[in-house]
Amino acid sequence: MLKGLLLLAIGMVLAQPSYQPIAENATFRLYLDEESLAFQLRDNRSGHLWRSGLDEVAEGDRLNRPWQAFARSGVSISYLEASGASRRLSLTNAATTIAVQRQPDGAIAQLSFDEVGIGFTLQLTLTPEGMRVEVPLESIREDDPRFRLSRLELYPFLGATRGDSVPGYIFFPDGVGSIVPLAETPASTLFSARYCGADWGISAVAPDPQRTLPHPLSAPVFGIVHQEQHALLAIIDSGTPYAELQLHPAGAITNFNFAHLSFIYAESYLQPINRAGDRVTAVQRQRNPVEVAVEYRFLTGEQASYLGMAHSYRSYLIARGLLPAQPMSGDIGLRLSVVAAEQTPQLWWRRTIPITTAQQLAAMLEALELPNVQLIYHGWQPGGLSSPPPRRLALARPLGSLAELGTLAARLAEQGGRLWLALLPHAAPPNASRRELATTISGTMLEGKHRYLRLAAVSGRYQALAADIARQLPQAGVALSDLNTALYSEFEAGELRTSRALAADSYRQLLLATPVAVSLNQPNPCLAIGELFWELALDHSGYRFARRAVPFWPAVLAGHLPYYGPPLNLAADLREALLKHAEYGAYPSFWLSYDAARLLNTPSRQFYGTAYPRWQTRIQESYRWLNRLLGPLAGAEMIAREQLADGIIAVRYTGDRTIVVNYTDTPYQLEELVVPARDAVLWEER
Amino acid sequence: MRLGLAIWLLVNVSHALVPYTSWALGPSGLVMTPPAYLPLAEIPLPLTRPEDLVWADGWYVADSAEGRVLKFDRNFLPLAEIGAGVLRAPTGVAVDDAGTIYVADPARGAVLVFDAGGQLLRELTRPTSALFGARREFRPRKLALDARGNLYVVSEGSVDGLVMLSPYGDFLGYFGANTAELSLVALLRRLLLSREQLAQFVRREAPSPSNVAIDSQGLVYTVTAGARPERSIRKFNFAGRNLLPDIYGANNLRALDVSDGLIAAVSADGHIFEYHTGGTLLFYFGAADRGDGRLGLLDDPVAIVRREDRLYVLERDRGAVVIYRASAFAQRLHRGVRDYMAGRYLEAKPHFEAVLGDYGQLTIAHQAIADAYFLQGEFAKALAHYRYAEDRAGYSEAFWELRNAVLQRHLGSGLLAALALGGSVRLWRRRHRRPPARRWFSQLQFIGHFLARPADGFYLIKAGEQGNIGMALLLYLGVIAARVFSAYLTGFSFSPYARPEAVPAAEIALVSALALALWNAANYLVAAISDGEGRWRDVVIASAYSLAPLALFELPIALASNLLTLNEAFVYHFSRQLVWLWSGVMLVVMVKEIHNYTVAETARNLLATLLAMTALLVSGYILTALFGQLYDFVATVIQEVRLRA
Repeated sequence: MLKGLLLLAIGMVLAQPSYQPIAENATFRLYLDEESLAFQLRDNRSGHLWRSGLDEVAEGDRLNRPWQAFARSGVSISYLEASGASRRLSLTNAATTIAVQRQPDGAIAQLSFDEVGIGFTLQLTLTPEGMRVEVPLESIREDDPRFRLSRLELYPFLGATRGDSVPGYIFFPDGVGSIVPLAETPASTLFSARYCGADWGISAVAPDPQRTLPHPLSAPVFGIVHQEQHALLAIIDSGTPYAELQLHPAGAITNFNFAHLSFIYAESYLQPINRAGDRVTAVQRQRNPVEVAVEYRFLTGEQASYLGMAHSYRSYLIARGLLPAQPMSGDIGLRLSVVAAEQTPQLWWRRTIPITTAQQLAAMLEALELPNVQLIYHGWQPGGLSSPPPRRLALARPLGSLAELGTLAARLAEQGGRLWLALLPHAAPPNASRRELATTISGTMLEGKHRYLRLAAVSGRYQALAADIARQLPQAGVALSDLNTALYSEFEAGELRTSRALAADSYRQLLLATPVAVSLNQPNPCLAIGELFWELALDHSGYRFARRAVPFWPAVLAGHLPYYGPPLNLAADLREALLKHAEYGAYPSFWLSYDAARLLNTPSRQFYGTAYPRWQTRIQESYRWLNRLLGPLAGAEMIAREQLADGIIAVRYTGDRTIVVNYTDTPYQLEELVVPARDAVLWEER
Repeated sequence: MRLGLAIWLLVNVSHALVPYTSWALGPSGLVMTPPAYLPLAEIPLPLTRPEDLVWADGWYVADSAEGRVLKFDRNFLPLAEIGAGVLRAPTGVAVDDAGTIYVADPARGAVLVFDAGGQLLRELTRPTSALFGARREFRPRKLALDARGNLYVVSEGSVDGLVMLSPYGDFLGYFGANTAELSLVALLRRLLLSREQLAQFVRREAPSPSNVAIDSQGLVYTVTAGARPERSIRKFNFAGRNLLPDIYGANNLRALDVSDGLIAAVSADGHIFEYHTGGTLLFYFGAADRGDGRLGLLDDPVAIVRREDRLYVLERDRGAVVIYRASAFAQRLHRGVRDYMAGRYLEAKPHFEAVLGDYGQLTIAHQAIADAYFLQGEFAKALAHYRYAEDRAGYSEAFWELRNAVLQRHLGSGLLAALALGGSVRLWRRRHRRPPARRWFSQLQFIGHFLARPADGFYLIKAGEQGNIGMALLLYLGVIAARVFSAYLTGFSFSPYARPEAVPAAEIALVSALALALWNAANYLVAAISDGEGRWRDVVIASAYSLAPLALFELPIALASNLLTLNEAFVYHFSRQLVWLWSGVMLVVMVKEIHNYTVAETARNLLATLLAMTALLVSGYILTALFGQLYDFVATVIQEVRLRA
């Protein structure tokens, strides 16, 4: 009771925001509160009013003063003191100077947090799809050397809801896509994740053999759906390398469900001062070059779902030339990752042993008799799979000749496929000089699975190798691995040498300029090269607060770009994995090795169960089964997904075609259609 | 939320990345496998501090915060509340076939018995029997029931083992106590200190079991936190003797389940272990939740139950049940294991072959396939699989069968061939006279002479007439080479190394070289200050010749071991010991002869040499450590100056 009165009093004392209309277009009307820079946006199509901030505190909100200020303000910042201590200031609880300048389609606000001497410009622009928010890099001021701008948090409470008061969900790009219900969840803390994975240049990830890493966020987006009628999709147009998603399910700290973007300008880090591991906290000296631009798109009606978000994101990609509108038809593809060679210890040294030679590859393909094979050859380089890529094109000796591989590449190309040479572009060879190795902010060598090269060394080595491949194996391509997780900034004596943004840009240029075909194994939201990746995770990371995985990526890509699932023969249950491929429209892939028994005494012994002779028939069966279902869907877009019953999923595509997947152990009958147990059918309405 | 969960309970589909890795025993240790169990769901329970979970036609959960036991249906929808108002802080539950519920309540110091309807039937308090111990407390934490209704109770701090009670609470005795482990320090203490001094130390007592389970045959299993990992799970026969060999366990196991021919155990840090009832590890998976918030990671697991192909783990802090389901791979392995443990080797074989081909190298699969081949009389195939399974006894038996077959077939002709060969060698020798001895050849001949008459040999060496440094170094190299190569070439039945890659060749070579160098240095130095006559050259050369038996015979013995089975282990071990003894005796004689010592002086010199070797080693170690520290110190200062400048 007392608490209630107190909250009421606080609510009355705090000034009510006053929203003024500042811009309007055919679809939206924008109102702005010039004190807090919070906005309201009316969607003329549905009449729905989107609020960027909290207007009133209610009992049970579990918001203390700083949290209230955070919820009310359009913008909050965090700053770092020299000691490494971090504090947050919001527009409504700090001494600020704000000057708003109205524009025909929005407003430009000059704002400054006077206590700490940090200021910048915030631009709000109304667009046909919604709103665009920008914070130009050049507008940022840090006048007081004692305080460094650390983070910028944009519209944290846009689309926030209390507890389970509004049915709906938050969508976030975890793996294939994942949704968090707008309700009390078992979350106990706020969830946060960087869009392109952690920056290893600042915080190295120590590998733990007991656990698997969660999926990195796979697209620069997140979204919120209210009542299946109104949806908000945020797309980071610029600044992705420094963006972090913060997701707060109700019950974790406050009673609100909210999600927002936080952009990182500087971080504190632990600087080791001796070999015993004693460390002191230090603050990053240079500011990250973060050019913030976020598009908020508002969807309504049928499009107000993760599928609608996927379609909106697809149109965004197509408009920017990041997703080709490729016409697709015919048979589905098959991706085979093949282990070429590996090292085995022998007395005091190591010997490279062939696992799958060029001749064996040819024999394998002949026996399989399947079209559209994308064959990724791993460990072709001297030293095999556990060796870093060479500077010039050379095959491990026991594998055969480049000419044999060339013939194979030509044959694959004839049959609609391609030979790809797998490459970890940034893995440093043991003989790399110190100048070639990337260094972290604390001055240590960047080390993970291996040591990593500096950008300059990567591009030099990569260009030489790619030129060799273009000359000697023109029909082959380069398949790059691990670029989805390893995008790091580089330092020299604590000074920023290559920022993450520059690294992303340079990689993009490098890949686009490659004289042969290039592919990435997984999507990387920082590289923004839509057409190049092809392995999709078909699940999410399984956060307890998330309700389930959703086919966001399939809905973006289906009909435009073929995408492959994780290797079927490494799955714990082949049948279930196949059903999931059918549901998500993913093409099959396998990890294979011709002479798998030889892998036993090598570092790649986990691939022991990939023996080609054991899998040949199952590859053919799996391919044919999926081809019957997905072949006719080539070029069709995914438009709806429905759960018909427990374990029965229907996915509808353009052209009135539906895939019905039955995960249960009993047949399912839908009118005249029967879906056998643990099977799927393609249903074409006539 | 409920509806969503119900869906996942009905349909076995996992849409989440498994947050942990799975491991199984493979050649030379753990190997990573595809997921053995997939996290399926986490179901929040309407209680704050659950302590125990039991399935008996419904789920029973002990709620220690509210002092009650809750009964749920199969989908964890609440059905009934038992013992509210009577129970204080129950931590263990067991339910018999008639639905009678036994609840361990340490706060009440009693086991309470309720009928199926929740009516209190009786309270089993501290046994009054003198055998229970006058000062023993009765604080029951966990309990299990055998087929006759006897209770096996884990009582807090009970070092005598489980408290065994009749269904009516009569004390039947203690059962299955752990044994206290005697460390070297404790042993020394016991030898050297008086009784009063000993009393100053905390008495080392056996850790008390932390949880208990009973299988369908009535055998009792316990887990013990704080025990050595190899002894953390015990399976007792009716006499209370442990039946399990050393297992791959952990020292922080909390709970276990024994059913369906499998043992599942969960540790405080969220690892789940699965064994067959013989104690062989099948899978090891799971990880602690360090704020990751991912389904399948565990925070504070307190109970584990297997039902069909699912594992249910009770999470105390989160007040939830985490459900895992066995993957197709694990199910296949389980089918194989059940057949194998029941002795149906041939039925088990196809399951294990599928596991081996599709999922990787598992010791258990090789073992089962080897046993099946052995049963079928396919000894060559059995031999190969025994080798992968690292089963030396099985390997040896299969080899015996193979050797036997060869001997039976070829013994006669082999003997004839050997005789013929022997004859022709003799003839050849008679016709061809020995060639005139060259220098190096005479040196080699001298080794033979030396071995036959060591005293003469030492005299000749000392007199400078025989032996040279070059030959000595060659002999030392021979010793090192013999050590290294015999590690590679010893027959699998006798070799401590399962695979050639496992041989630490560099280490063996280094240690041997170091030992030889230390011996020579120490012996010469000691002799130099204790009137030894030998020059350093004499010591080096004579020591080398003394070790000639090792250089000459170690390798042949290793090679010969390839033809032996464990039945003839005596031959192998005896011949090796003989060679070592021979070299040892030669070294003693060497010291006596080269330095011209009396027997007593020889003994003194040998002892001093050993001490000097130890001293050299220790000082070497200390110097390295000191220089390491110095380097560290300087590096730290430089680093800090750079950082603060």
